[in-house]
Amino acid sequence: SRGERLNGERSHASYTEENVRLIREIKGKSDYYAILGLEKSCSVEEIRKAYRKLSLKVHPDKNKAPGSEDAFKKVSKAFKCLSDDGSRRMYDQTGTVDDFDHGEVNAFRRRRRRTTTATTTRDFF
Amino acid sequence: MAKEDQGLAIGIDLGTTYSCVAVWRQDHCRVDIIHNDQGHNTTPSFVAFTDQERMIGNAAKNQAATNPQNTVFDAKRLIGRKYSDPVVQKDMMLWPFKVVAGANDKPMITLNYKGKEKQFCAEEISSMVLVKMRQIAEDYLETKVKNAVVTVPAYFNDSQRKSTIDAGTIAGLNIIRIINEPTAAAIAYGLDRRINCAGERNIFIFDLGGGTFDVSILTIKGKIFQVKATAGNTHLGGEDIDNRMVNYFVEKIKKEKKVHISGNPRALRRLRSACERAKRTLSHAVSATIEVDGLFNGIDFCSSITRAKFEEINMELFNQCMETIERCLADAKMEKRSMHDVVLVGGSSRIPKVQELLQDFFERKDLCKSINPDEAVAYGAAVQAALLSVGIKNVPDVVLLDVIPLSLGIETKGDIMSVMIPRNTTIPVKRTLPYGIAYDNQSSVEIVVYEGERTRASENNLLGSFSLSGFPKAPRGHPFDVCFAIDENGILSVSAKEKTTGISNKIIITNDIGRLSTEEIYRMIQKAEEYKAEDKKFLRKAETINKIDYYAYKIKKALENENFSLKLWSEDRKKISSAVTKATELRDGDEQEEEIDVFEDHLEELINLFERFFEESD
Repeated sequence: SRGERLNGERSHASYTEENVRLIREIKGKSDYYAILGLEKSCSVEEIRKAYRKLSLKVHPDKNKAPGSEDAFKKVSKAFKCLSDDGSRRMYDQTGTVDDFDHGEVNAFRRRRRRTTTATTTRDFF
Repeated sequence: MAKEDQGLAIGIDLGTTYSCVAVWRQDHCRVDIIHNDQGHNTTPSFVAFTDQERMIGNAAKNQAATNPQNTVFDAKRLIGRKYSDPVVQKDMMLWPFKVVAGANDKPMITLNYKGKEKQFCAEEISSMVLVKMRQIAEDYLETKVKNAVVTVPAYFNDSQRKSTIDAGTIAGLNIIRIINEPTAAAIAYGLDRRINCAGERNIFIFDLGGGTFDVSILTIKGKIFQVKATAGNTHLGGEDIDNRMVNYFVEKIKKEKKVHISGNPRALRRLRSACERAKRTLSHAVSATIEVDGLFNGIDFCSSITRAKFEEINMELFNQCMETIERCLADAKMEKRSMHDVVLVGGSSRIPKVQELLQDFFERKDLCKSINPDEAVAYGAAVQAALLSVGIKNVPDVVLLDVIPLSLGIETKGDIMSVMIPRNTTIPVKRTLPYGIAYDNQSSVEIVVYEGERTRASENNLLGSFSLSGFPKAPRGHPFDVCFAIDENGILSVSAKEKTTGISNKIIITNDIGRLSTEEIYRMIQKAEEYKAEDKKFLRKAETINKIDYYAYKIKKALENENFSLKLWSEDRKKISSAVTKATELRDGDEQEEEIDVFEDHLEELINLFERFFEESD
């Protein structure tokens, strides 16, 4: 939905070949280190630096080429995983971070209980 | 029309009590805060209705005491909320205007306009304020303005954000982005301090405004403004401080004068205004007087309040602020010592006790006061507006990486909230997670989307739901994917897909409980246009009456000159004096109800008479 105004009008933004190339490059990569252009042995500081540099180039506000939003999301995801010690270790060992079952979903929506007790603790003024 | 296409975009800080508008001037390389027709940089977010006209801004606030039931403010405290929301129920007791439950539990403001009962939703009232802000900008820039960035409290939830966008649409604005208020203020601060900002700087934004409270922690490095965490309270601000002061004095009056003024909207409004003034005084003086002549039943009320007493009655609110700060630091996983700057934003950040508590907490004397707390948010919004517009020159090259304030997730078996995207995640973001069905041979799933931090799903804010049906016969745990995507405005869309069959379903959480439908918005746009036309008509009529008065006066003056008067034929004199009499009738009489034509025709007649008989003699 890039380039689309909140109320539906389209903006006419222009972009460069460099913009397009960068997005294509990120799109072709799946390894988090590769997305950020880093070695597996890199430091946290390098990860942060790489994220900032890439953000400036692919953030949809800066890069108007189609697909920039998805590219940015991918970069953010890689950064989020690698910038945290725990998730980075898990990624290094298993190559993934959240590919397990997250719960079971019912077939029908339960009747929503109207709980008012939680919100009446504050005094009136 | 051609001018609109230049893509000039403004930044609007749509506040609970005051609003502010700003624009990036490419030729001057700076942001201009735009003053209104009264010369003020902020405009009250007030809308008032009378038998004759609609007023927005200063005019509306100034007459609030004489017309309390039809003067609406605090629309931001209603927007995106339900009528049954306890917060709304509590606020209603303090508002002099009437709020009733509309369709889908939507709160509707009920008032009298031109002798008829009218209903407005909060979006419509906010849209009127936006129209006013746009008008202020257009007058200043001498061009049409269509595009705007509007700010919202960082802690606004999904429905409050969407309702704000709806307000913009009703106002006929093209909202190019919704940004968070503390983030906007950070831009103002960061650009101001750019020169000394070589390394990485951690900024703590403390934004205590008229109705909402936000704190955000940002890291600024070069061109990148990255929000680390945000926290807040969408119902804490100067208004609440005023409320406590009003209550204090209502009790005091009850004790000392043995009268109850709580049922009298006019007395309460006047007391409130006096309290608001006293509050401001207490930011520099140690005591302030409250004086309201003829407050109630002829009683002249005169009292005073010390800063110590003021702090005592509001301490609970200040402590809530401090708790929020700690939560934000914990979320950001940062130490308070690592904050390079603590930036004050919002009018209520001027309160000495608030500053003192902050100094104590951060163990530092220097709070940053270099930016204007009332204007910083609009300033940042204007920069972002310029950044997002095509063909604007000299815009500072920055990128904002903002976060969502509340966790988003779906309900799983046993009313458990399964978080898909935790709070403080950078946006835009997309995440897909696998889920399983809860029972054998379950042919459909109901995806119920919530927002909030409670473990029990139903205790969070329900955003919407949809179902995915047509599953193949499969045992419990059969997988399907749920995908959450959040755009740059923090607006969520949810989709689900069953992999083996390829069945999918998707919602952008719109038109849900309380949200306006496209048809409703369209209808409101029409309504807004009508009101605008009526305002114009009223203005035209008022101007015409003024002119009639002017010419009638001139003619009367000329007739008083006997030399001149005697020169006229008696027939002409009769005609002239009857025209003057009619002018007086039109001005003073009940004929205000008459159509504009009657006035304009008469003005034309007066001008003709004036030109024919009087002009050459001057």
